[in-house]
Amino acid sequence: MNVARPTVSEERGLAIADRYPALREAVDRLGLAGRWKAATWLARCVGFVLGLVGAGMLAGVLRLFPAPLFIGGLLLLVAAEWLIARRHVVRSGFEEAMYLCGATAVAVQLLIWIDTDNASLAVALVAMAVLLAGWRLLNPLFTTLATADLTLSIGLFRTTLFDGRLNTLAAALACALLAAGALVAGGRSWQRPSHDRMLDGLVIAMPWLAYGWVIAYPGNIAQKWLPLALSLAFVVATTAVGASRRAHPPLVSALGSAACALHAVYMLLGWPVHWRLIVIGALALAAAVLLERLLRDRRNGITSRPIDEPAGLDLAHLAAAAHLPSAPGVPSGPAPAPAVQGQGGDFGGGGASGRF
Amino acid sequence: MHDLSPELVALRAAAPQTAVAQAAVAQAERLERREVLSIHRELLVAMYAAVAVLVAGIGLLLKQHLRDIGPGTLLTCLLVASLACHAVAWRARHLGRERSLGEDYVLLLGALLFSAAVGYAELRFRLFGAGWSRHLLLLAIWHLAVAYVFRSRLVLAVALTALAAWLGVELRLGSAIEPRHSWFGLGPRALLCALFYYAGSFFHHVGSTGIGGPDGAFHNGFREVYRQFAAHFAFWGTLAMIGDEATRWLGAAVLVVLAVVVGRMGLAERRESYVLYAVGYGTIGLVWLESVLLRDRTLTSLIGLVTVIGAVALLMKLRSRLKASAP
Repeated sequence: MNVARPTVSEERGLAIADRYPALREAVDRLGLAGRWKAATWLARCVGFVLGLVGAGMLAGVLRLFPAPLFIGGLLLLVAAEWLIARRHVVRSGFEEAMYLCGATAVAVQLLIWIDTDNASLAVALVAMAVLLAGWRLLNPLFTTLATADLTLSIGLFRTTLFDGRLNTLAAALACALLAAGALVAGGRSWQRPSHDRMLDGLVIAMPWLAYGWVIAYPGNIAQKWLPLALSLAFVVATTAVGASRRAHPPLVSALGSAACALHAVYMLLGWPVHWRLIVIGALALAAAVLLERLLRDRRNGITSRPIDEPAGLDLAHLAAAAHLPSAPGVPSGPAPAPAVQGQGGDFGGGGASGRF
Repeated sequence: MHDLSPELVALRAAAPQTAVAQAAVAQAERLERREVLSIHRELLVAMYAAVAVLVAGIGLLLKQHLRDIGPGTLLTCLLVASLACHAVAWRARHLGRERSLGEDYVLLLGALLFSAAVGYAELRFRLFGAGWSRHLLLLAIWHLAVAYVFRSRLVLAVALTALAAWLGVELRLGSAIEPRHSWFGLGPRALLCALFYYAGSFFHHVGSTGIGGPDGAFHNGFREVYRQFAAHFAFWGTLAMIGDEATRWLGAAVLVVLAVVVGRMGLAERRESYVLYAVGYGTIGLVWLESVLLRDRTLTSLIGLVTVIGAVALLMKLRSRLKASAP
């Protein structure tokens, strides 16, 4: 059976249009993306929220039916497939929300029918549903979430060995192995950008999860040096790979692992909380400023200056800055606006405006 | 890894033979061949997180040592640190060069430290007495001035937030306009804020300033910050009005008008974000209104489902129009 999805060449065309907004028109003219219509990331977010609201409304309509989750889930899956096959919608957010909710609803209904109190099985089943949605839609976020769910099911697995305390270490080991495997697999050439992104998702998320599982271990080892050693090992490995491949995902992973390492230092220090925060914040800021200065002139192809890549984070940071506390004891007013636009625009010369 | 350069070679011939288009293809090819990598965004995230942690630590320090540290010492330390941060930005300005990314965030840190100092001074010395919220206005004016002197969008965002906080607190306490009237609740106050922001965007009107050169980038950036804040505050205001029984219908009417105006503006200026705000906020408002007005849950869900499907269809149509209108 042929499932409706972009071919390899169409997906690569979509990736070019997504990554280089200035080339969208040329991609359309050449027909590289076929008949598929993708959305900018802001449109995708709005579509996803609308999809979630729609799925919730459908659940409300079907609540009096027998097996509402199963019927609703199947309806959502069919509707999402219809959208993909007939409207040639891909990564619009809407069909993704429908697929995710549909697959999860069916899995939850199955769990209700099985009537199990095995938390590990329940989590694994939901993870498989999310994995199915991720595989079908070539969505790296879903596949990463599903993998994280699967490691959670390892952590929750019932065992009498050491009162089940080793489960957290087993989950940490699984995460670390997955991260290492994805890091290695990311070195080969992949035709579909989405497959590469799926590996990137694992490279980014798994080290953080491994750290989380290690510090969740109830034994003494968690309070000592293992979390710090693990996160530092990941910082070194991912930075080396990111720098040698000149790729963003390992560097993002390194950033997260550096945050984990700082957290480990935070836990090791016996100082009052505020001094720990001040020292760690100052260290991180100094390191970032130093790095920025060092790489102002390109070194080995790496620079801290922005180049003409879509920089959707610019306005997001503007909004995020407004969330910082203005003063202790100052009453909070209305929340600041998340000044975020779709990517690919002309705002401020380097930001994103969503302008086509 | 994946490399899209084979496709880019084909695109090179198809792209317009203008210098800009060919440069865009050449840049894309360099990126795909991984000749160059910018870690600008990673550094943005790192610096933001570092500043947030540092400010949180300073906030905690102040909270826990209010009595131990003398107020004079504390204020002096905060103000000196803030001054030092501003001095970094001043140096760049004095040398006539653009601030680096790090200097931008140091300036933000300086602004936040100044906020902490003023907030502490107000808390400790009650400088404004009963009208204590005026210190927020003072902060807003100060940050606004700093934002314009240093042309910093980050500090402008802080200024607009302080202004929103002042308007929210001041009007609720009733020292500016009629105090505890339900018609001047959260929603109308947010709308008033949005009006201020929108008015602010007119100081950076494209027609009067031009869009080329460094000044153009400055005006474009500031105008966009004002307009983005205005759009969000206006929509939040209407949603809050819908939530309040006294202003429900007025809120619904304002929401519809606002969604139409913002949506049309987005189409006219070919800005997808405004179209998305119009459809997204409009749908949320309508679904909320339906849920408030209709008692029957099944009927509410059914009508809500139809609303969402309609919104998605509308969104697809508007996006097609946007794409078709591209030059």
